[in-house]
Formats: sequence, structure tokens, C-alpha cells
Amino acid sequence: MKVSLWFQKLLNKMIDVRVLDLSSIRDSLKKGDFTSKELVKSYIERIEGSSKLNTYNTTTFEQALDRAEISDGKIKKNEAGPLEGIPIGIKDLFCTQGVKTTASSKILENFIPSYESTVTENLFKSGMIMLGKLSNDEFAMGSSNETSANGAVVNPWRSRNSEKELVPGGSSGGSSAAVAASLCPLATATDTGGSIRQPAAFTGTVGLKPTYGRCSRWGIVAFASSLDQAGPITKTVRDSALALQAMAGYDNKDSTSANIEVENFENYMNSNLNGMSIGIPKEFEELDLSLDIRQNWEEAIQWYKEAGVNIKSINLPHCKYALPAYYIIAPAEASSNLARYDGVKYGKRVPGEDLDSLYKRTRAEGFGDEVKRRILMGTYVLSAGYYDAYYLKAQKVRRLIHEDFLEAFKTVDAILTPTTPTTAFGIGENISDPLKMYSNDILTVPVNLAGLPAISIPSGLDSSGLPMGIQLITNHFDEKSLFKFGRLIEESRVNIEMPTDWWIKK
Amino acid sequence: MSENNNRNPRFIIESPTGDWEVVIGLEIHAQITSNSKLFSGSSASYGGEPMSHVSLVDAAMPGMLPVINKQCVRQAVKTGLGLKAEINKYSVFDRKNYFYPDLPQGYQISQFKHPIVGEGIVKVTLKDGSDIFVRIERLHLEQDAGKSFHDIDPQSTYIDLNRSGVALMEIVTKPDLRSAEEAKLFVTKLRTILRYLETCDGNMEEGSLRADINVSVRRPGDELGTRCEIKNVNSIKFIGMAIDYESKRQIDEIESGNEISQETRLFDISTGKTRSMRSKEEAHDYRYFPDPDLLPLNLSQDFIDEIVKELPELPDDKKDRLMEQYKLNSYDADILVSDKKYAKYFEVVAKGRDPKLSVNWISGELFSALNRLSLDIDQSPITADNLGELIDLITDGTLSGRLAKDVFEIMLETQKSAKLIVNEQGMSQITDESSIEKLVDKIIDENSDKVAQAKEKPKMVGWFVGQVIKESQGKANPSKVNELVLKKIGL
Amino acid sequence: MTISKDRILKIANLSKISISEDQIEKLEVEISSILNWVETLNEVDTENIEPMSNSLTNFLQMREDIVNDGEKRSDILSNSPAEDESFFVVPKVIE
Repeated sequence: MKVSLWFQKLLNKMIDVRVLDLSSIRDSLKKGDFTSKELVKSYIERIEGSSKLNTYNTTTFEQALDRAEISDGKIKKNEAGPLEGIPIGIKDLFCTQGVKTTASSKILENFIPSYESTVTENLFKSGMIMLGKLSNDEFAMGSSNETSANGAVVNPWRSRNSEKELVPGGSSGGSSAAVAASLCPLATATDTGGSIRQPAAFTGTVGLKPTYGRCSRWGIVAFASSLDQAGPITKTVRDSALALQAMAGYDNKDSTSANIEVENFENYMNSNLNGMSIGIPKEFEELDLSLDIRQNWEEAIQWYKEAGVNIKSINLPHCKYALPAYYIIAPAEASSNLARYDGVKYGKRVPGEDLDSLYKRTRAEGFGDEVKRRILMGTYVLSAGYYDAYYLKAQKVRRLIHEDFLEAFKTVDAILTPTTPTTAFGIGENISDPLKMYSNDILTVPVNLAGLPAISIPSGLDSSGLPMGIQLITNHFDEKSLFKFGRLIEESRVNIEMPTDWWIKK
Repeated sequence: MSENNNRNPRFIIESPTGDWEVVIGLEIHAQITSNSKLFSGSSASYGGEPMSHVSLVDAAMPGMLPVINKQCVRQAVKTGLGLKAEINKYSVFDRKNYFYPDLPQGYQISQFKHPIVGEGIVKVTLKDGSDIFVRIERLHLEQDAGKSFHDIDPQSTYIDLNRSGVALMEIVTKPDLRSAEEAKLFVTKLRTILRYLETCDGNMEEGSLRADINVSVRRPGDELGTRCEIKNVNSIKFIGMAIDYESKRQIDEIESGNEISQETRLFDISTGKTRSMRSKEEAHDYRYFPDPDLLPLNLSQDFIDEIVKELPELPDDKKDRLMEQYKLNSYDADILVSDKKYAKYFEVVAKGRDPKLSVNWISGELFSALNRLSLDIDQSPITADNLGELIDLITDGTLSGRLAKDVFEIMLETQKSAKLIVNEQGMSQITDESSIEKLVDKIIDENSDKVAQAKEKPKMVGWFVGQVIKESQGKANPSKVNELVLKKIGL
Repeated sequence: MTISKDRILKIANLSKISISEDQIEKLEVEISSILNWVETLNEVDTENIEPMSNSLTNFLQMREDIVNDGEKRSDILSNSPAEDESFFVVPKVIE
């Protein structure tokens, strides 16, 4: 590795970022294989050639180069932060000071926050550098990144022998596509019903949703407050541990932030799994999963068996109600969280003859169809006469789902399931069928309702060459076990490498 | 306690068709005295340049989150204790969702199903000296809204968010009030209690205390009638006027054969009438649900006990004690307890002195002087000790009542002590008979013609007394003068 | 459960979103199908189950009563669609 890098450096000073990941960059910068500025330049060049994927809403190249110089200075003087000089992409849901933040919605099209979200501030404090803001499904509502006001994001993966453009998953499709296409080694993302894990599975990347309360929500555009959680999308499990450590931490500006110690998660990478146990939920086996995914699940179970892990069958009887419960709770919270987008204080304003029409026109033109649909649903399930039957009922089912998991964790250390029922589908295929789109989240949503941590790790390729992801779920604040268990998947699986840079424009 | 529904109502409105009873319930919004707001760290103080006491959280910027202010919670608990109410250790914050430009989040954080304080009671003494007991339904915490200005521009409404997010206590009574008078007395009493507790300054001109009034009418003994809500009345006087107008309006409506439609109304201070607001019934679907940005509030017994220790002596207890300890009558005691600062002042003055004299000087001379100078008792140029000293000089005969009033005026102006002024200006009373006799003799000599008249008309004695006192530059002791004049004239 | 056109209009009014005639029909179908689907929750026996709002088990942390925020007028108005230096501005509201 070091020889080829040095040789490249000699040749054209452009680094092949496709072979880099977070921890290798960290090491290289320390060793002086290249500078942060050189690295940033390489990413910039690659991003500029990747417009077909439509991953970045906004780029901040000038600032990135300036910051890189500063980082290089710090590294030289031995004043480097833990992740100094490493460039990253930020999902356009995180408010970034002085940089346009739109939630990929027309209603925030020119919004420039005067403040920095806690998570991005944490990342910048550790020395990281923002390359730009990544596209997402509008207001984080979606599973395909087709509802972004800036147009669909394209998955860098394609089926073998096909040129059909596929979705990268959502809502963090921009983040997952960018990491998969090596447009940044780390992208921040958010997960409310699977929005980190599902796109990670669709793009062959690692997506982590921490425990609810682990990362601060302050400064992140809220979708569903009791479910939203920020997390990283990376290439490897080790990177995920590094990123979580940099992102997490108690924030007294967020009343739902947990005052829990942030451990050195990287330390758990080299753990012995002998004697530990994994649960396989019976009810999930009965779901409609693609054959390849089902087989891959079996394979993964085998890997663990061979490593000395006890495999147990567990019951999560109420999980089949998770998706409908989610599609009551999340829209309800969203309908209230999105009331502030009213054309009065910031964002788009469509004038009206009176205040009422100003509100109605602004929100009609500013929000896309999926967002409007969810706001209407949410308003409906909270409205007088329907609250008990829908919202309250869903919250009770939520408790039952939570209890199912707590019961399961009495006997197992982790739960293993596929992340998604299918691999990536074509752009435009499911967009007019909301219920079909929602069914993408069937394996991920129960985790959000229970507030548990979970990770999706690429575990194989299906018969058309598309990546599949396997999901590990552990108990509250037990992210370290996700990393412990996660490493085995990376070691056991077939080599997963994206075939070509088909989208690059030189 | 029953619904106070009986055939012998406390107050009746008579009409040719028969008697009517008015039933009133109040929802009082009291701004909590605190440095910062309920869920943000910006200033809660009144006034300030527009948009200056506003943080990103108050302005509902994307991604902002609420964090609760401990002091506001304490103040609510303290108020609950002052209302003899149940403190709910477990309470939940709910979102009340509606659109209005002074509500930047598009919802107000309030408490719906689980308020921090439950049922309580307030004793109100009526003018005839009898007591009524007004039951408190609940007290909950909620955010105040910003302010809209409709008069800056003809086409637009301007919004200032300084007040947005300030902590409010909403205090809800059961429908136990039966007249405008009772409502006014209740609000006065509540205000006094809040000021004693220092949980709200009760400053109605600044909007610290506002009332929503629920009014309905019925024939005595009947079920409750349909009520109308009159929103945001911000003075005690207007509360009375609004109730008077609304109850008559409802009676007129019913007597004309119409039904009362349940609606929200505004009191127009320029016309003295209430009018309907434009909102429709659907608009009131607030879709309350627990705020997912907050966790439930859980108070420990220690937390509550600490606050119990801080409770001051409350008005009812203070009144009872003052009447007992100082042998004051109810009327005087009421004046003193109407503000705990008055009572405190009084107790300094009355220490070792005649309580009746003390009360009279305070509620008479002092209060009218403070009124005249627009000063609070805190800002009184005459301290309690100094007033006490003045009273001592009356009691020991150094000053007559009249002289004392003069000294009082000088004390007001100069803030000097009574003794100092008396010494500086040689104002002590002349009480010795020989000096006074000399003055009486002088006046009688100078007015010998009037002496004969005085013998006929004893009232003229007063004129002589006045002249002697004038001659003495006010220093002669009036009763001694009177005594000697009578003697000299021969009456 | 199907949702009526009337109900959709009421909900749209509460949500302050204007919807056109052709949108209403589409929404009727979409929302009705979502509602039918979520009604599977009725199969679950939730008698005596407490609703769960949040997975965290601790209670609300309270902060000290210090003024440490505010005085941010220019930040707050920096994205305002109306161009006033001191206020948010909307069309005249009549009470």
C-alpha cells in the first residue's frame, strides 16, 4: 500500500481515494504519506466528475481547502485532533453554520443557519473537514432518495450487464452513494425508520444507527423526534466505530440526550466471540424476503456458528406490527415538527392575500408529495376522535415491541437479521406506490421504535451482483457489541468491490 | 364539594321573566418571575428592544430543542402549595398545535393530561365579611406567545418574539364564582397570593396576569348553561365590566328566544362590550400529544420539601395573626395584608407601639403620600423606623397630631428622622399651661369683642382655639388650648 | 377505513396546506389505503399497556435559571423573507 501510494504521489500527486477509508487515511496523514490538502484536492476532483450520481446538494470546496491547510499545519506541529484533516460529507439535514442547509426541500431552499449542529461541531472539533452537503429524501421521508428537491440520487452500483439506474436507498441516499462511490470516506446520516441502514445495505457500505440518545439531535432538522438518530455511513466497521466516537456525546441542549460515557469503540474490534450468543427472530424468517437475501442470512449464521457463537431462535411476536405503528407515530410527530415551516421566519414564502393563504400556498408549493402525504396522515391520526384509536394505540404497540426486544436480550447478546427484504430497485419503480415503498423498512423500523442500536454491514452480493446487507441489533447503549460482532461479517464475506467507475466524467 | 348549584344563589340578576344566576369560571395566565424563559436561556424580563430577548430556540429555527428551567418548575410548585393544592410529582408536557404568527413553532408547549399541580382552594372574603371558597381545578406550565402589532403598518402585522417562550402558569378555577364582584375579589386575592410567593409580580399593565373568563347564565337550580369564553382581559376593572356586559347579553339573547352558541369572545375596552372572534370550531382541534423532545417531569419529595420550607406566611394566616397579635379589626388587617410589604412595614412600626395608631398613620398619611408621589412602599422616603419614631413623639406628647402631620411632610421631603427635624426646627409642642395661658390671654385681649359672641355661640370657641394655635405657629397642644380658652371665656 | 373528501379538506386546513381538486382524489385513495393498513394494529390486545413515547427511561433534566442566550436578532432575522430589521412581518391579521 505504502509503495503504491508513494509512487502515485510521485506520478501525479492525485491520490486514488477508492482504496482509502477513514482509518487508513488517519494513519496516512499521521505518517505523512500525503497531506490533507492533497487528499481534499483528490476528493474534489472525483466529486466534480461524479455529478451523474447527484449526491451533493452543496459543495464547500474553497473552505475545505482552507481548512485542509490549517489541518496540515496542526499535523506538522503535532497538535492534530483525533481525526485531523479528514474530509467528510454531511447529510443536508444537519445545520451547518454559514452553509446552506435545505433538508433537500424547496421550503428551505435558501436557508443558511447561523449555528452548527452539535454532531457536526463534534466532528469539526476532532479535525474533520466538510466537503459539502449531501442529498437526502426530503425532510428524511423516504426510502429511495427520489423525493429530494434536487432530483434523485443514483446508486453507483448497477446490476451486472445492465445500465438501469438504481436507487441508493433513503432517506440518506446521498450519504450512502457518496461513501460507496468514494466521494468521501465518511458521511453523516440520520435514521428514523431505517434511513441509515437501508441505504447502506443498498450501496454496500456500513451504516450505524446508534442508541436513541447516544448522539445529540440539536441542530438536526427534526422529522420524528422520538425516533430520529444521527449516525455514520462508512466503508468498514472499524471506521464506523471511529466515527461514532467522534459524533457521540452528551449534549445539555438536547433533553433527550443520554448522559452516557463515550467509549473508545475501536477497542472492541478485536474481540473473541466464543461463548456469545445471537438470536434469530422466528417471525422475521416468515417475511417475504428475496431468495438471495435469505441464503445470505443463512450464510452469516454459519459464520457465527463456526466462530463459536451460540445461535438461538427468539420470538419478537409484535414486530409484525412495527411498520404500521411507525407509519402512525412518525407522521404524527412530523406533522407537528414541520409546522414551523410556514413562510414567516425563514425559507420559501409564497405570498397570499392574507395570512391563511400565505401559509397554505407556501406549504403547498414548498413541500413535496410524500412530505405532504405524511403531514396529512399525521394530522389525521392526532385529530379529535382519532387520537385514541391510532396514535395512542400505536404507542401501546410500541411498548409491546420494546418489551419483546428486552425479553430477547435476556438470553442473547445480539440479534441477526437481513437489513432489507430486497436489494436496490430501479429509480421510478416504486415511487407511485407508497405502501410498497414503506415495506422497504420492515426489518429496520422495529429497532427505531425500541430505540435500540443497530448496524448494517455488507455481507455479500446477490445473483445480479448487487450488495446485500446484514443487520445486527444489540441492547440499549451496547454499540460495542455491534462492533464486536460486526467484524466477523467483514472477514467472512466474499470480497465486495464495486466493478467500475461507470458514472465518472473525466 | 358540590357544584354550588342551589336554589338560594348568592347573587341574582332580576328580570321581568324571572331571576337569573351567572356562573363564572376563570383561566388565569400568570407570568412566572424568573430570569430566563421556560425552555430557553433568553431573558424573560419585560420590555427590551424588539427581538432582543429571543434565542434560536424561541424563534423555532430548524433543529432547535427545548430544555426546561428548574426555577420555573419551582415557582409552579410553590404556587401550587400557596393554593393549598396537590402537587403532582409526575407530569407531562404536551404540544398544543395551531398556526399563528406569534407562535413560531406552530405549537405551544403546555400540559394537557398530566399537569404539575392538581386541585386546590382559595378563600375569598366578600364585602359583607362572609367567605366563599373558590376551588382550583389545576395549574399547569406553558409557554407564552410573542406579540403581534397591527398598527405599525396598514397592510401588515409585525411580530416581536420577546415574550415568546416566557413561562406561564395557567390557573384554572372550577365554575364557583357567581358575580362580577366575586370574580374581581378572587383575582385580587389570587394576585396577592402570587405576590406573596414572589412567583408572579401580578403586574397587569405589563401583562403579567391575564384572565380568560368563562361566563354562562341559568335559572337558579338549573343545569349549567352554554358558556362563552372572553379572552385576555388584563385588568380587574375590565374583568368586572366584561362579566357584567356578557351576562346581560346572554340573558337578553335567551329572553329573545335565541340559544347561546359556545364561542370565544373579546372584550373591547373602548365600548365596554364583548364581541365574537372569527374562529371556527374546527380550528380548535389542538391535537394534543406528549412533546417527544421532552421527557416526563418527575419531582422528588425532597424537591418539594425544599420549596415548602421557603413558603412565606400567606395572606390568610397573616391576617389572622395580625388580628390576634395586634388586636386589629378585619378592615385594617385586610389593608395591611393586601401586600406583604405593607404588613412587614407595619410590624416594624407597631413594635412596642400602639398598633391602631400605627395602622392609621400607614393607611392614612403614608399611603396618600405614596400615592401622590407615585411611589411603592419600598421606595418610601419615610422608613418604618422613622415613622415609628414619629409616633413615639406623639405618644410622649412632644408633638400634637397636627404638628406631627407637619413633621411628616418634612420627613417626606428630607428623609430625615422626626427627632432631628423637631430639634432642628424647634417644633415641639407647647404643652405647659403657663405658656399657653399667655397666648390665650393675648388672643382674648385682642378679640375682646368676640368673647361675648362666644358666650352665646359655643361654636366660636373653635375660632379662638384656632387663633391661639396659629399664634403658636401650630405648636400649642390643641386640647390644652381648648381647655384654657373655655376657662378664660367662662364656659 | 376510508377517508372522505370532506375530512381531507378539514385536515388540509388544519395542516395549512392547500390542495387542488385532482390532488384530493389521489389523496383519498392513498390515505385510505394507508389507514386500512395501519388498522391491523387493532389485532393487538393492548389492554392495560402503558403507551411508550420514548425509549429513554430517565426523567427530564432541568437547567439553572441563568440568562445565557438571546441578543441574536440579526441571526434570527437573517433568513426572514420579509425585509425588516426588527420584526417578522406577515399580512395583516384581523382578530
